[in-house]
Amino acid sequence: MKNSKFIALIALAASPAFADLVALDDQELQAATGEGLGFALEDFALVSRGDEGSTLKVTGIDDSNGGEIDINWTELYILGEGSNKGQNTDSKAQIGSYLHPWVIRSARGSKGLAVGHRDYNEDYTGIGNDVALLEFATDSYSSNLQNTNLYSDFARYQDCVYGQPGCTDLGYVNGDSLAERKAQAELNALLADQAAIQGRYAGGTTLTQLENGRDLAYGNVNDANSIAYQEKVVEDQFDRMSDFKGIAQTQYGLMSESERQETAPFFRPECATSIWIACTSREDAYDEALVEYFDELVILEEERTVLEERELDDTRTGLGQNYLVVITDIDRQKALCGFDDNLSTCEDGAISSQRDTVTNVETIAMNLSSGMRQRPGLDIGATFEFTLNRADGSTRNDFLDIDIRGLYIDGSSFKLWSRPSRENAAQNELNAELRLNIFAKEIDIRACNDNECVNEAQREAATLNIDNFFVNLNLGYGDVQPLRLSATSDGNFEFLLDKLDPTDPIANSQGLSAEEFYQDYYANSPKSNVSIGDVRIGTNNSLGGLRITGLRAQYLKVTSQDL
Amino acid sequence: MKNFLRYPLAITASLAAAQSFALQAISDREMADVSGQAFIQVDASSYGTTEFSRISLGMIVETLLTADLMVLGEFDRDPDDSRTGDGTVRMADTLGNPTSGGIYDLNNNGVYDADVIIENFGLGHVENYKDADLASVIPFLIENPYIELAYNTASGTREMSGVRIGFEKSKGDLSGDLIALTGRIEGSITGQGVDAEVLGLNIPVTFTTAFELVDGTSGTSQNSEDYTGDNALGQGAASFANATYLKRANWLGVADGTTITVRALGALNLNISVDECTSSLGGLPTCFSSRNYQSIYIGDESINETDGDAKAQLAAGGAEGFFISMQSEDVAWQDLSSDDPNARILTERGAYLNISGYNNAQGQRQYPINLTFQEAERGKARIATCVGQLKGC
Repeated sequence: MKNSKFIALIALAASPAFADLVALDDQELQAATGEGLGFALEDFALVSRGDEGSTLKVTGIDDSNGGEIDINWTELYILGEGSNKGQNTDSKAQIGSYLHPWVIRSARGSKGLAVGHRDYNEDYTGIGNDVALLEFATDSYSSNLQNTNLYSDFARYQDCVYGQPGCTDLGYVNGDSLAERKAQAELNALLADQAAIQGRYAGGTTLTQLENGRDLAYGNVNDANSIAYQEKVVEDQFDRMSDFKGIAQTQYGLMSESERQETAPFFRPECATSIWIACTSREDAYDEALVEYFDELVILEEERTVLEERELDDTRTGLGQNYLVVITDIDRQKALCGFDDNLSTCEDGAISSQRDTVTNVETIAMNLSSGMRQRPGLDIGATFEFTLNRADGSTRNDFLDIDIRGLYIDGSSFKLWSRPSRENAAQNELNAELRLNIFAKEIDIRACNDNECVNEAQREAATLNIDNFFVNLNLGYGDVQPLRLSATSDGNFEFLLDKLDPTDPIANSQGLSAEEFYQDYYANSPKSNVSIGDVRIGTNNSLGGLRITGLRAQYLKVTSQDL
Repeated sequence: MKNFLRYPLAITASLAAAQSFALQAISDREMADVSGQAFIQVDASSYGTTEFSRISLGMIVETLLTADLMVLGEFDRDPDDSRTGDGTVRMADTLGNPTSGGIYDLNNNGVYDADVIIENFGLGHVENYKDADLASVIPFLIENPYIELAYNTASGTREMSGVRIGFEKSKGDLSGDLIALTGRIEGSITGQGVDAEVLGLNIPVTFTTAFELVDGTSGTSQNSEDYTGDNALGQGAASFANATYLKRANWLGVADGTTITVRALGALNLNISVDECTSSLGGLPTCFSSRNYQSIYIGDESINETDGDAKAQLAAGGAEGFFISMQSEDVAWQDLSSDDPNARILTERGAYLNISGYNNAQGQRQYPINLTFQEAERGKARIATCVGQLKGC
């Protein structure tokens, strides 16, 4: 019976662990603090192939004409790295370990707790200590080499899959590895930006002084000589111009078809400038509105010019730089160094982060050069067969074979906790926070089946190869911006990262000012990153890498709908 | 006993079957009342020897999204300074002079090292960003995003040759420091009244001209849309010879060879030509660094939250045709901004960003960048995507 086989597998996989476990005595048990349930699957292997009789059919997906398409999932394997695309089933997967297990645990939030409190946990500081949370977490590592989040930086700078043929040289020059030098070059560029900002102002100038200079130049909307006043003038004139533009559009629409054919939207009618052709009353009205609209445009441009002169006036900020330069520098300084007042201090921001990256990359290169190795990852593969409908009524058979080599997902977690519903405070709703790390040394996608690509050379030539694939997805930031999943009354799902609200007592439990609240969010809410080292078909046609760094949804609402 | 599972999928199926005893079939009538039946659609199509599979997701997305850096297609190209190569252009300074940096071409001119480089990327914007108490989010709207895969079958074996992510409709502010761009960014410069003086005239005039990616060092442009349609390409053509478009461009403007037809006195037309990014009348510059344009509006800006919810706004003012693609070889993607189902956008190896014009419900062509000549020269200021600062949060 197949079900019992599955159960037996779990038992067998877990059985070696019992040999290593020792019963706790009462004294030891008393000291245990409920760390949750940890588990690991050692020497795990899962292989299923359609040619052995098992297949999964996905139904219910249509094309845009309502015709159903067939999807057959014909192969799935989960093995250890080195399985040669699932062929070597002796290569067993290690999913967690007894030192680094996957865990399911319930814990108390740590927001508001002092460091050192028995319930304090740095990982839970975004969630109030008045609630319990349920967490599902994969294995985690403090070693730079084993921590996938950190290793992905090294992989990106190394620019090839380390350990593969042709990528075994760490590229040391004068004691610095290739990856370290590239990381350092990026740090140097950031430091140059910071130095340029400092160089534009007198020594000792602070961020506060820059903001004061900005505010001084911007001035008050009631001061006719200020930028604020002139911005308002431009906005008002823009609205006025838009009104006249609307009138001209209306008048254009009121003309007869033949009258419209003699001109075009926002073009003066020929009769208006010809002494030989008389205008109709409708053409007169249109031309009059058009000329007024043109006049308002002229005024708008004049007002914009005045605004530009003020924005470019070096004397207004008291800092020797114009308003536009100062606001650009303030934004860049915050991005580079966080919100520290001293322009030369970089405790947070991109520079601090890149310094850490340089150190991490250096450590990993040293580890590798001393013979240490990253633990083996997982090999996962799946094969799908699709029958799609063509426009002419015939069908097309598509094939996708996906092989992932060296997959790591350590450092991932999913937390759930409950808070009063936004719609009905008498009810509770589920809040969540997702931290997902996925790193794969190589992903191969093949679209030709074995009947088309009859030998390994053909298969290799037609395979799309993706190297050093990394996704670090962070959705939700504790009570400040939890992830909410719900359903609408008409049956569609809703996925929400709500707009930040400094007036919400749960989100802003510390009672920060609105400005401090946003600064805290920008400084501490984790961003997401996506990177791919290289994409190519076979060994040719590389289309290079891809990087999206520092990705953050300050607001995200996804609502499903029928197509 | 082997300690791995041989038939997990069959087991999954049998478990599902066991659960089905508790379920009752519903009639077609009842099924028709259930939403969420068609959240995913998969469509197959082909063009020449390329086959496509498009996976559409039925959803409305509202977002304020920021990214520090977006880099697509980071690889060495073989640029040629005469630009007879693959269309890769040189880096240009603010005056249009070739400058150094990035990677280098055969003549030691600087070239950006990726097809698309955008810093401080943002979708959506923050209103009243200077006042944290009053700040509010105006989201970017997306309807029915899709992922499309392209397969090349020319060699007799199917190989995946490209992927693109696009939106059926989208609307809102797109911001960023546009460092290098490959693809199609369409805009229009409309001269009305005041622009007459810019062009050396002192009478009210009206004109509209294209605004597009240009080579800042030469003023020339070349876009793949020049080659769209069956007549130009020929359905089934095996290659896209001469379909080169600009890559890694860092300037926008009115390109060389453009003739601006100015309507000045009734039906009287004056033709003003553009040569080396300079207008023949008035000698004014017509091309500018792409970094000058920090925020552009996708869709109809006059439609806003007073016109209804996100779906209603997208229906009234959503732009069509936005996509980002990466392909390892030539791919002719369907131009979803065109009413012609055979219209194609020809893309070559690398990344491609398509922010094109589209036809609105009234059949009028709409553009993501709409400028007067003064605005073109002055640039488009960044719209805030953070609270307390314009960008960089």
